Amino acid sequence: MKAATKMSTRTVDNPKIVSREEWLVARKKLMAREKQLTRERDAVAAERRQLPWVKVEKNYVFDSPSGKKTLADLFNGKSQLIVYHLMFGPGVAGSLPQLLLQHRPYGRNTRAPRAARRLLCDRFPRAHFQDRGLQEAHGMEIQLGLVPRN
Amino acid sequence: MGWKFNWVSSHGTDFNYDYHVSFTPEQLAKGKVEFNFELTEFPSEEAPGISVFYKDEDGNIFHTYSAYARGTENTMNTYNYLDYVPKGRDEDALAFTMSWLRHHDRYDTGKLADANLPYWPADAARQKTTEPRP
Repeated sequence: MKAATKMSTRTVDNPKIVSREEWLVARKKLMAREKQLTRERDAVAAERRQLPWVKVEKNYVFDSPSGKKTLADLFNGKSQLIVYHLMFGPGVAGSLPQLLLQHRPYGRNTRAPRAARRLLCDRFPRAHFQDRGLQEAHGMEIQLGLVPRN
Repeated sequence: MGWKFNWVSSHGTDFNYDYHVSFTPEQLAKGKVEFNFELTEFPSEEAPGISVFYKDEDGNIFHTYSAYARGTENTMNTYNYLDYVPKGRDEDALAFTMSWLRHHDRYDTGKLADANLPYWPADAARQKTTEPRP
């Protein structure tokens, strides 16, 4: 690996070992910035909620397992809709199984929020779904810490 | 095994194009497409993104928000975990970010994303090694 030929800047290659007391000082210093970030994230989210809206004038019709659906149908009785686009087009081979992995929290761990519906939307033709053996998409999960570099 | 998700196809509609997550071959042939709110080169007909809509009591629908590229990173909880550990995301040596992603039962092979099933074109993967993250 090329990284070995140059001086590493990674902490794990040259860690600084200190006393618990010294660690605590450094940790608290970082926490001040973490808190700053949390407050900033809240402020950005508030600003996001204040964005103006654009009226949707087109009548989009989607293909779903239960037939044709309009954009209004996709809300499924809720007032807010979050659409994930997964780069899964007609000409893309096998992207769905890999990309869906990052949405595991969506698929398994979380329930629909009170007033928003979430779904995935891509250009891949639904009729071709089984042609690609995509039932496999139902068997995936993320494992952590697996970036293959020691 | 066996989790389910809600998925619909926008095939044959303008939807993905209107919200800048799909590009026609003609658009790509011009060299730059509108992605992440700027004109940029893009290696694929399909792009990652999130689109948010609101429906009022009269049934009017409004587009309220879109995010692309790293703007969708909050939904990738793996990165939130990796940001806690000393090695972090550790992706600098990879051909492209998230090339470590694979089927849950294929992590032990030690391989990166299957070269025959890339979610970026192979040439785009090489190209991305010299470019900053989008």
